[in-house]
Amino acid sequence: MRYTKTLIASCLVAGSSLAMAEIEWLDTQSNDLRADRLTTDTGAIPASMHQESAAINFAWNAEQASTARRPGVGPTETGTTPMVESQQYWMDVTGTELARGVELPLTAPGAVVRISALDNDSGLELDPDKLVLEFNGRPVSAEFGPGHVSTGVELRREGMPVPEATLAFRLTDRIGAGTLTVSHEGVRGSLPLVINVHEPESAWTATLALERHNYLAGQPLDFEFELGDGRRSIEAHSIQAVLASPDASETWPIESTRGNGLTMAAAPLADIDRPAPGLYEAHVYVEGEYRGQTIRRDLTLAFNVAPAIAQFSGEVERGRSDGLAVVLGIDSAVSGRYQVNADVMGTNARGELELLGFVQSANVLEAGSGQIELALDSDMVRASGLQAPFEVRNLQLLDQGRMYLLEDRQQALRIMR
Amino acid sequence: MLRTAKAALGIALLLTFGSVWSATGVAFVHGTGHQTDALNDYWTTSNVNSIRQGLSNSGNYVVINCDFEQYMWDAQAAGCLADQLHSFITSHGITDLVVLTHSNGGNVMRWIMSNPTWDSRYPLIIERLRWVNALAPSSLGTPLADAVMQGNVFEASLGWLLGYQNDAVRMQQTSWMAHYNSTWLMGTSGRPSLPKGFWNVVGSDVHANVFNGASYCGGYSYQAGLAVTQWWLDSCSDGFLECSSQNGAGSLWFYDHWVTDRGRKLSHHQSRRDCFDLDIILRNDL
Repeated sequence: MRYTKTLIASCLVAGSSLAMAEIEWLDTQSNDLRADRLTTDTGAIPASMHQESAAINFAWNAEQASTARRPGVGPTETGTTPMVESQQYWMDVTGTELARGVELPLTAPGAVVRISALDNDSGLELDPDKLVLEFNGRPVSAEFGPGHVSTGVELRREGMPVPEATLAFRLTDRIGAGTLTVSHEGVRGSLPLVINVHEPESAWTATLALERHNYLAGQPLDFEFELGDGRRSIEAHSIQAVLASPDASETWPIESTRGNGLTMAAAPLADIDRPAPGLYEAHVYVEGEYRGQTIRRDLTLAFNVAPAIAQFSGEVERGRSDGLAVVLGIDSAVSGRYQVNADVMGTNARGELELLGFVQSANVLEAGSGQIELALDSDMVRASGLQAPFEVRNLQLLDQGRMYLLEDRQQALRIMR
Repeated sequence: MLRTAKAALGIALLLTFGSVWSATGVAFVHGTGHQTDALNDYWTTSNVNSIRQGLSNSGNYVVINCDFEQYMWDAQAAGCLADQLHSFITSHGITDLVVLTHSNGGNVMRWIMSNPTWDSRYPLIIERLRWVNALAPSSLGTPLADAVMQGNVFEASLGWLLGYQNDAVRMQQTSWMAHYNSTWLMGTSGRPSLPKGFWNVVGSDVHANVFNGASYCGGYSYQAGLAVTQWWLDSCSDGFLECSSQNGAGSLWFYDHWVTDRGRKLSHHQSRRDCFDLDIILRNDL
């Protein structure tokens, strides 16, 4: 009798395991994005801006975009992590300072210098004939020749949205590494101006990078920073770094550590009273010196920070739609329109996983437990010639109405049959 | 007997309604700016009229007028574009839509193609879309947008971060486009492909020489100005965008000099004009 009970129990467990194993979650990867727990501070979450209320599911074949024409080379290879390089810097000056002369350190010939009023409607007129230049203390000609000087009106006509009160010029190859002093008389004393120095021919480049494009509030930010000329890296003698909120009304200091390190213990969230679309920006201003020559560079790196307002609950079941469909449980702290993206792989005749297609689904969910179904119709699955086991990869949970990426799992689900 | 009758009926239906079933249309989607008369102010009538000659019904075209000074997902940008495309498709019975975009118009169109669940009008637009011919799209942003963000964050108030540029300029900074390409847009390297083709036409240089005939198509003064903006760009650029950005999403269709008259190169201004037979190439593609 006891033997029979044990056998029945074993069969039940085995049957249950089989049912559960029909779809299983795969192990998380080290660079997945996922909150430990959802935020309880829901009062600090901005209202959702979504306008659509219908549930929408859309799937497409991986080769759909390249049919009918033979694709040429592309798209351009880009990195998967955020990284910026800079060969330029900016200086804020006043009219008085510009009349007196502003010193600009240069590291290479062919520098491009732009002087602009900070305000779009300053009424200022900058005149190439009033520019006075000195290089390493001796006067140099400001006769740039045709095509080497341009005004704000000309640049704006080409779609470069500088203020009309702008003068841009390119230095000749005779002016290389050293100090350029720029002055221009007749500018109102307190008028704010900005000078942008771009050195396209310089080997000295500053780079700033992060591990990912999206963070959850509270996660540490560890920036990689380097100042070098391709042959050597030097330690900057001055680094200033701040993080600015999307509406630029708040800033937080980024700590500079030994060896050009830049770090922030916990990614902050902007004030809910000033909701603004856009991205957080890390601004880094660096100055170094090599063999007596000053090197200045500015960097701006954009990324996003989201509060942990929703995540996959771990519940998953087969969907009700024909074809290949799964229903994913989602826990959310606030209502909103949530979007799920996924890559779907299938098994080919050789037993190897192959990309079947992409699927995206979105729906409005109330706070609490909800579900979103991802579905590929049976025609699409049949046409692919791929069979089980299937895998779901690059599974993402996004908030459409607040533009947050909330969870990102490189390997997510295995669907056995 | 029944099979023969069915076949005959099928052929009759095809002959009767064939043109309706495959109604081809073309849409012209402008770049950054708030357009109210893009036909005259952005594309020029001669260019649009030349291209639409390729349609079997040359009335099946629409010139989009939206506010692309906003972020691409904004109701006045992608929302407006979806509204005008959806209306064009349904009112003209378009079943085969070719979209021509220029510059930032490519980003707004790519937003719709990448986010079909954002708006219930998007799936129909994607379904009817044959492909997008993206003329000089700013898929990876432009260093010019980086350069014009005013001021030094440590020396002045932060007002310049927002106050002096519109949202479309902020969005087309290279670092910002890298973010949106990684998270919200499809079709760039390492990201899911788009649901329909996004074919890039890449402009690779600016001629600004008074003795060079190529400098005059579209207006010499524009060419001279674009030669100046090239100071901020790498050696392969159309005066506003680097070639790498123009081929940053989707697939390369062609570089200008591969197919244009006498191998001319297209500046950013010329890729929205009937210069060097570009209009004929686009017309023959319909």
